Amino acid sequence: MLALVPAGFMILIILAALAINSAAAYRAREELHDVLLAAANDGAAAGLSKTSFYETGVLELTAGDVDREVCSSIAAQGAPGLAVQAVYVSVSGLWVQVTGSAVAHGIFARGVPGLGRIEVASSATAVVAEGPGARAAPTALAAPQKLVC
Amino acid sequence: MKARRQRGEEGFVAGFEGFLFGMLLFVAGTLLVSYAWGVVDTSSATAQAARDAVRTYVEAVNPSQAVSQAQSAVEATLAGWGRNPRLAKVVFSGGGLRRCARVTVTVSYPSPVIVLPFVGDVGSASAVTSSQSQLVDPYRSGLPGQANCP
Repeated sequence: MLALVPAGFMILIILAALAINSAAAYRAREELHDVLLAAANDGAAAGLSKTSFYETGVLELTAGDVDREVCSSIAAQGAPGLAVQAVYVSVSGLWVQVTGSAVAHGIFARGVPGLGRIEVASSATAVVAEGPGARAAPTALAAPQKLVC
Repeated sequence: MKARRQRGEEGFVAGFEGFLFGMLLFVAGTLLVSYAWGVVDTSSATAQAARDAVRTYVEAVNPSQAVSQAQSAVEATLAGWGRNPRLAKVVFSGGGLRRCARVTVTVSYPSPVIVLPFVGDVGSASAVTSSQSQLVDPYRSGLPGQANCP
C-alpha cells in the first residue's frame, strides 16, 4: 500500500504540471493578441494616406502601407518564446483586421509530442476615426490576404 | 472462533522508504510547480505593465512628461498585481514622442522562488522580461509638425 504513495504524488505533480502548461498556453494566446493588436493599430495609423489627409481631408487607407507597418510592428514586438507563423491582413474601408497564428512552448514536457508544443491563434481589429467614440464595424470585411514579411 | 491477525510491523518497515520517497517527490514537485507558476504570473504582470506603459507613452500630451507618466502606469499596474513596483526595471527605447516614431517599453521583474499563502512572494529568482512596442500616431493632435512616415 505504501508503494502507492510515490505514484499518487507523481500523478498529483503531473496534473499540476498540466495546469501550468494550460496557463502558459493562455499566456501565449494573450501575448499573440497583444502583438496583433499593436500591429493592427500601427497599420491603421501609418497606413493612412498622407496626401489624402493633408490635401483633401479625406481618411483613406493604403493597403501597401498597412501591410508594411504590420510587418514592422510584429518584428518590433518583444515576444520571446512566441514564434509567429502566419499573418493575414484585411483592409476594409477604414478597418484593419490582423489575424495570425503562432507556436509557443509549454513550461513542462517540452519534449513530449502534443504536450510541449502550443499552437495559438488570435485576431485583432483597428479602425481609423476622427475623435473618440465607438464605431460600428462593417458588416463584411474584405478577404484576408496572407502577409509575407 | 476469532481469526488470528497475521500482520506484524515488518511490512511497514519494509515499505517506509516508499513513503519517504513519496514525500520527497511531493515536496520537490510542489516547489517546482510553484516556481513555474510564479514565472507565469510574473510574466502576465510584466506584459500588462509594458502594454499600459507604451500606450500611456504614445498618448502623452507633453513629451517631457511621457516617460514619467509611463513609469507611473508601470507602477500602478504592478501594484495592482500585488507586486512591489520598486523592484521593476523599466527601459524606454525608440524615437521619443514624435509623429510616427516607434516606442518600445521593456519591463523586467524578478520572479519569486516560491509563493506561500499568507506570506506572499519568498525569494527572487531570474527576472521575467516583457516588452511592447507601438507607433506614435502620425496624425494625432498635440504634436508639432506633419506626419512623415517612411
